Amino acid sequence: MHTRAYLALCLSLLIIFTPALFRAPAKANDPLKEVSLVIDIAKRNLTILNNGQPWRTYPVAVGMAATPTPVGEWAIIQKDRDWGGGFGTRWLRINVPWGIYGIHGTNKPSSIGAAASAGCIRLQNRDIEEIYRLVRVGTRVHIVGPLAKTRVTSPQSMGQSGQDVQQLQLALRERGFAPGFLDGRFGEATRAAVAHLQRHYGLTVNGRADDNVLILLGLRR
Amino acid sequence: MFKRVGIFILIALLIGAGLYHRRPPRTEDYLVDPTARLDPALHYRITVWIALPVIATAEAYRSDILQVLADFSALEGSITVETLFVADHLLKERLAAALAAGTPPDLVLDTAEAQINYGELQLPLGRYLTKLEKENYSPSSLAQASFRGAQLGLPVGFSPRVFLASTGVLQTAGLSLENIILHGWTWEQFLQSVAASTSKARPGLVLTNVGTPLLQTLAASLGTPSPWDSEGRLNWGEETLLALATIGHQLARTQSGAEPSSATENALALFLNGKAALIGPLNPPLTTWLHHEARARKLTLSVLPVPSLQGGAFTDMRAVNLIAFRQRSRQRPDHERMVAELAKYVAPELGQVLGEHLSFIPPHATSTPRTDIPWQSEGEAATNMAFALRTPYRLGGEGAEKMADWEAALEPLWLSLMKGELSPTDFSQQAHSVLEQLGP
Repeated sequence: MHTRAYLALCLSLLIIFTPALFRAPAKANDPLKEVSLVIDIAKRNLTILNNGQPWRTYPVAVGMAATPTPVGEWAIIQKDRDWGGGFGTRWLRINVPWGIYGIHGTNKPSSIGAAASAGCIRLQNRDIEEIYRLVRVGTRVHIVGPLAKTRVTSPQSMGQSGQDVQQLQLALRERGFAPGFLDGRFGEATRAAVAHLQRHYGLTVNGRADDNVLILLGLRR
Repeated sequence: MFKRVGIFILIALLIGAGLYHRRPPRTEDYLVDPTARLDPALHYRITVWIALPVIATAEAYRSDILQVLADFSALEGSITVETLFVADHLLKERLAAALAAGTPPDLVLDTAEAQINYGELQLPLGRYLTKLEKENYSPSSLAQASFRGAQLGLPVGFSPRVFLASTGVLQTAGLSLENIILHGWTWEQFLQSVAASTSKARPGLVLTNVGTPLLQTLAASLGTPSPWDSEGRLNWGEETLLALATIGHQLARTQSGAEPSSATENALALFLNGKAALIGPLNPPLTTWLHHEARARKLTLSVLPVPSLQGGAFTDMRAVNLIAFRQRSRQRPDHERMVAELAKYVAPELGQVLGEHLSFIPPHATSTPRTDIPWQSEGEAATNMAFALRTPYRLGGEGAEKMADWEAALEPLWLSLMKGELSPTDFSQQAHSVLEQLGP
C-alpha cells in the first residue's frame, strides 16, 4: 500500500514538473521585449535597449567630419547579409531620406572606435551578427549627437522629406508640439503638430509649414 | 368599485410623484445649496481638469495652478484636490467622453474653449455667488458665462483679439491712440488708417487669418458672435451677413493686393520686416510673441482693439470660464457645495495665473493687472490689452454655441468671398440659406 502511494506521489510530481525540466534555460538578460538601438556619436558606441533599458553596448566607428553620421530617430528598413568588403557580414539599412546609410560589419576592425566611415555605423562582424539576430525591420534606431540648427529656406508640407523637414521637426518638438520621430519625413504626425501650432497662434490652419510657421519657430526671419 | 378606482388613482399618483423626483434635473434649475452642511468627519476628494497649452512656461504655469489649488486645500483641510493637466487640443474631446459616461471631473478650466453650456450634468455656479461677489467680476465676463438667463460658469480670463500697428500709422490717418483705447473705433476709421498707411511699396494691412476665425472676430465686433441666440433664433439675418461680408470683402481687398491667402501665409514676416503697417486679428499667444519679437528688432508697436460698427460698442473679447460638474453617481449636496467653494476661491487666483502665462486679461477686480504702466510704453502686451478692456467694448449676445458646426458650414462660402469669387450680396444670401437649413 505504501509503495503504491509512494509511486503515485512520484508520478504526480513527474507530471507536474516534467515541462519545467524540458524548458530551455533562460539566458541571463535575454531581450524578450521591445528592442531598440541607440548610437552615441560622441561616445562611439551602440547600445541595445531592452524595453527602454540598456542591455548590451558595442564599440562602433562613425562618420568622418566631412561625411557625418545622420543624427535623428530612424528605423531599420532592410536586413541583408554577406555584402562583403567594407560592409562585412551583415547590413542593416536605416530610413535616412537624404542618402543610403546603415549599420554594418567591416573588413577594417582596427577602425572601430574612430570617426572613419562615410556616415554609416561600422561594427566588428561578430557584434553586427549578434545585433542582426535581435532586430527586425521596423526596429527604432536613435542616433544621438549634435544636430546643427540651420535656417529652412522654403515652406514644407506633407510628403516632403529631407534635412529641412528634420529641422522643422526639431523646432516643433523644442516648443512642445509633438511632430513624431525626428526622421526628416513630413508625415501625419508632423502635419498634426504644425496644425496644432497654427491653431495655438490663431493662424490659418492648413497643416503646412508656411512662412508664418517657419518664422514662429525661428527657422526663418 | 369607487374604492378600487380611488386606490388605482392613489397608486398612479404615488408612482408619478416618484418618477418626478427621480427625473434628471435640468441644468438651469439645478442649484448648489450654499447652506449644505459640510461634514467635518468627511474627507472631500475633488477632481480638477486644467487645459495645458503649449507655452514656453508650461512647467511654471502648471506649478502656479497647483499652488492656487493647494492654497485652498490648506485653508479647508478636509479636501484633496486631484488635478489633471490635459493638452489643450485634447481636453474638449476628453470631457465629452467623460460627460457621456456620466463621470465628468468636478471642475474644468478649458482655456481653448469659450463654450459655456454643457447640459444635464453641469453645476451652475452663478447663483452661488453673492451680489457683492458678482460685483467684483467684469459685467461682460458674467454675461458671457450665462446661458438662457442662468449664469453657468465663473469667468477666469478674457482672451481678446487685437490688431498691432507700427507707430505712426494712426497719426498718419489723423487718429489718436488714446481715443481709440478709451472710446473705441469703427471699421470705417480702421480702413481709413489702413488706406493712409498704404503705399506702392508697403501694403497697409496683413491678415493673420482669412478663414472663419476672421468671420468670428467680425461677428463679435458687430455684437452677434453666434449665428443663433440661446433660444435658437437666427441672429444673423441677411442684413447682418451683408454687413459682415462687406467688411470682410474690404479687408481682403486692402491686403497687399495679392491673393489673400498668400499674404496671410507670410503675414508675420511682412509685418516684422516693415512691409505692412498693421497686422491682425491676433490672439494673446501671437500678440505676445509679436511683441517680444518686435522688441528684439527695436520696433515700437501699438495694441489696438478690434473695431466695431459704431465704435466702442463691441469687440472680440472672449471669456474662458471655470465650469463645474456633478457626477451621476455622486450628487451629495455637501460635495457640490465644496466644489462651488473651491471654484469661487480659485477663479480670481487662476485669472492671475492666466494673465501671467497666457496674456489673458483677468476679469476679476482683485486680479486686474497693474494699470500704472503707460500703455504706449514698451510694456507687455497683456498690460496693453488690459487697457482695451477698460473701453466700453464687450462681446455681444450670449456665448457662441456649437461654433464648429456653423464654421464648417460657412467656410467654403466665406473663403470664396475673401478670394473675390463671391460678392458680399451673394455671400449674404447663400450663407443665410445655409444657416436656415443648419438650424441651431
